Amino acid sequence: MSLADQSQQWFPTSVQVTVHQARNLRVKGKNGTNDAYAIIQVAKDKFSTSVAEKCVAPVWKEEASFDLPLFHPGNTERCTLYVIVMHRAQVGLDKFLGQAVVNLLDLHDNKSRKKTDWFKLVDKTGKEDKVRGEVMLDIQFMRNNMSASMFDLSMQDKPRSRISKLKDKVRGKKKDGFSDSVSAIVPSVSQVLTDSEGEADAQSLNQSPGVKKKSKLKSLFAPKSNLQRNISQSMSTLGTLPEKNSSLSGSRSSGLNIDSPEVKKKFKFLGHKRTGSSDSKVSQGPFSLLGRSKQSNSDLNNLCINGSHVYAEEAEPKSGSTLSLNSSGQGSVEDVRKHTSDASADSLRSAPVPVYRRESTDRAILEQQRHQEEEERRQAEERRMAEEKRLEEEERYRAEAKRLQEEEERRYQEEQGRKRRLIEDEARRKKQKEEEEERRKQEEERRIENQRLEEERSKAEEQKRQEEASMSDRLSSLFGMIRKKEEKKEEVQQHSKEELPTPAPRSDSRDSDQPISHHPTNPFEDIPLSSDLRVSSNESPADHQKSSHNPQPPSAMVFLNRTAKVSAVKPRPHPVKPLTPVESQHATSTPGKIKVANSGESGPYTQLTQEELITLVVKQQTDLSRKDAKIVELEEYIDNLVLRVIEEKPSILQAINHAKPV
Amino acid sequence: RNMGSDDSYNFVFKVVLIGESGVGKSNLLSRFTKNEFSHDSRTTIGVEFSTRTIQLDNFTIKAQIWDTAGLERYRAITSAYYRGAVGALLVYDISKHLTYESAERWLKELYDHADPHIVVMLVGNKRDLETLRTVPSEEAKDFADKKGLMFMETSALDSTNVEVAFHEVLTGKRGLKVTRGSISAVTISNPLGPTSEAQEERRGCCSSS
Repeated sequence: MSLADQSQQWFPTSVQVTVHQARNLRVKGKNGTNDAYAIIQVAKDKFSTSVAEKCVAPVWKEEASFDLPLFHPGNTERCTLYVIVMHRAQVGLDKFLGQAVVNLLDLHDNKSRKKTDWFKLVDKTGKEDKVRGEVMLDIQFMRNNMSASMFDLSMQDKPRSRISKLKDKVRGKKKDGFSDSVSAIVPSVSQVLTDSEGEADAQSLNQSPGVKKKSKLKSLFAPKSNLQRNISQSMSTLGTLPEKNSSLSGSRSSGLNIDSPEVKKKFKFLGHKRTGSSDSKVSQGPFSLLGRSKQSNSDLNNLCINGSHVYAEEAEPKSGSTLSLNSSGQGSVEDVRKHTSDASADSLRSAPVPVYRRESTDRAILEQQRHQEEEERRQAEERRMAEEKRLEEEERYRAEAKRLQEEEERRYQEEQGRKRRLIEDEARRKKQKEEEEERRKQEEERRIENQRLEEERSKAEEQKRQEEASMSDRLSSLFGMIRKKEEKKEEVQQHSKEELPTPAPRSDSRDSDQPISHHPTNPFEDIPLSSDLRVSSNESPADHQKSSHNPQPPSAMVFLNRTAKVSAVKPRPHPVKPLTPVESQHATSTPGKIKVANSGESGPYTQLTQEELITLVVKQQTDLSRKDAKIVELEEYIDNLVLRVIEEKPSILQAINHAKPV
Repeated sequence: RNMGSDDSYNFVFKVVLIGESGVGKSNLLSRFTKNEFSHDSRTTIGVEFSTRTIQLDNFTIKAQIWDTAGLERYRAITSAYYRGAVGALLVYDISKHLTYESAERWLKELYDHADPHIVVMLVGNKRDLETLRTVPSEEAKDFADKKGLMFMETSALDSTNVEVAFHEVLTGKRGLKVTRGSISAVTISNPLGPTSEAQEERRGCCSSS
């Protein structure tokens, strides 16, 4: 029998199914779309495509390979391909959209078929109930190794025919045959010989007259196959034989006893297990990979596999898995690849987040107290700011008409208390909407403020805030020490996030307040929660206008923004003296004063924000420790130098400072 | 008195100064070797020595007094510093009790690295600061007796007992016999030879006077 003959009359050992796309699907998802995926199944082997989200005509282009160990008409289960299109439900079970049921035997026999074709989707029972759409499949049958199967067959007989020398010959031949592999698509697999091939052959030989095209094989092997079949049947019941034959290929039986359903089932189970339990191919991916790598001396492996296949399940797990995984291996590997790539992508995406969170949560814990303090301070500051503003404006802008307006507003505000503030919030938020970043927003606020206030004053306020921030820093210096490293990292993030034309000190302190996320302070998020509702319920349009012009201290505003709770607490009908006089003194001191004081104190670091200062300190500490290390090194170096001097020319060390005055 | 201008000598005696920082070691050294005292002397950095040639009995002896700082922790030079020393002045400040308390630790350090026969004198310096004294003479004397040390209170400022202290150490209460072995070792370990040292010494003397 020539190789050419074999390759002409080949029997698939595996089938590769590519699910390209689907169309005209029934819609089960929202907005007239599906989150569709497809399950590709042959017998118990299943693969799933990824989910094509929000589409009516999903495109997957994913493929799977299946072993066809029992590829013959008697084994319809093994020879039926199911492509089940599902909709991934957000809640509950995924929804069945339809399935394509393909008889692979028929398909294989149909030489005129198109490799890629549309298959109609039917209902769960396989009937056409309604229009479910179609799925485009590419189905290719593959043969891993023709000559190998021949070898198998011959080897199978070998124990009985005792032609052990022939075995070697056949082997050699088989090696040649490797190049004969039909499946160019599964090259890595091609070396491996599955007994399924042999089985298929044998079965088709043994079996029904309806099976075609075995002519040559049949003539050659039919008798043996028959014999073998009988034997294998008996072997299936006799537990002893296999051990004798274990190193040989007598165990072929698994696929051969198909005539009786029971036996078949039994063997199938065994075979299934042995073939690497191809049901769970995803999890097997690695193994199948391993198996591949081990397939180099496939001859022996196959022999052993065949021998141990049925009977010695545990004995040769490696070769067992090698065995039928090889053909399915491709599919499984791909499957795994897909999954892992998804997973890795996910993990990649999420990786930075946990890291950041970890840092920030640590920091958050550290700063909880400080945060509280700052909140309190902020509350006080709010009040202070309100009061301060009034004072300042009385002092400075008495002559200005705007001031009168503001005074009115303020009075109104005092009367309206919370309502007014809410409106202000909203007004501010409106402005803020135009801004992308938190700091930007604050800066904008400040700018609005500055329209009415002198630049000096705004500067002073910034400085004051800075001062406060640094004060809070001092208060939390304990934490600060611990925090430094984390902050250092975080600062990088923050700096990158918060690129501002002019760094706002207070936003810094706020940042440190909320290290976990900047979102809570994001005004946009707050809008629907706090302001809109309240505004709509409490406020009149007039209020809106007024309040939008109201020079509310930014800190108070920000504070309002930050937490609804605070805003509920904060508004008061009348400005109340801050609870903490010291603080208020510090904070309410007029901007001018502060400015003077600050300018007096100001060194090169005055303009730096808290974060920058911290960075600076950290950096300098690092520098210091580096220098310390350097000093130690130098000391050691000098020591050794001195040592050499002492030992070789101590006179050098004689005191030099003779001229010292007495 | 002879400040060491003598070219010829029989022996080089190495003496080390040890004790806490600020007790006046360097000033004791400069007082003894150069008859100098510096009010604003800085902390000694590194290692240096000064020499002075003196007559002991019938011998001309070149005293090589070593001074250092930073030996609180072990360093590469620690061993070298003590090696070959025939005598040591363990100095403390009578006005600073802590410097006295650490004497025991210094003693241990000394015995760890120096010749076991080394002659050690406990020196209470800054005797001129009598009003600030926190270390009673008796206490220190008792301690020295207990440890087998010589004892003396000095003042590098007013030169009290400086000469005597060095002389006693160089002579050794227990006699030169004991230190002979060390002496030879010192001589051997000084490959420079007498001439160059003496010259250096002389030069130094000239410039200072």
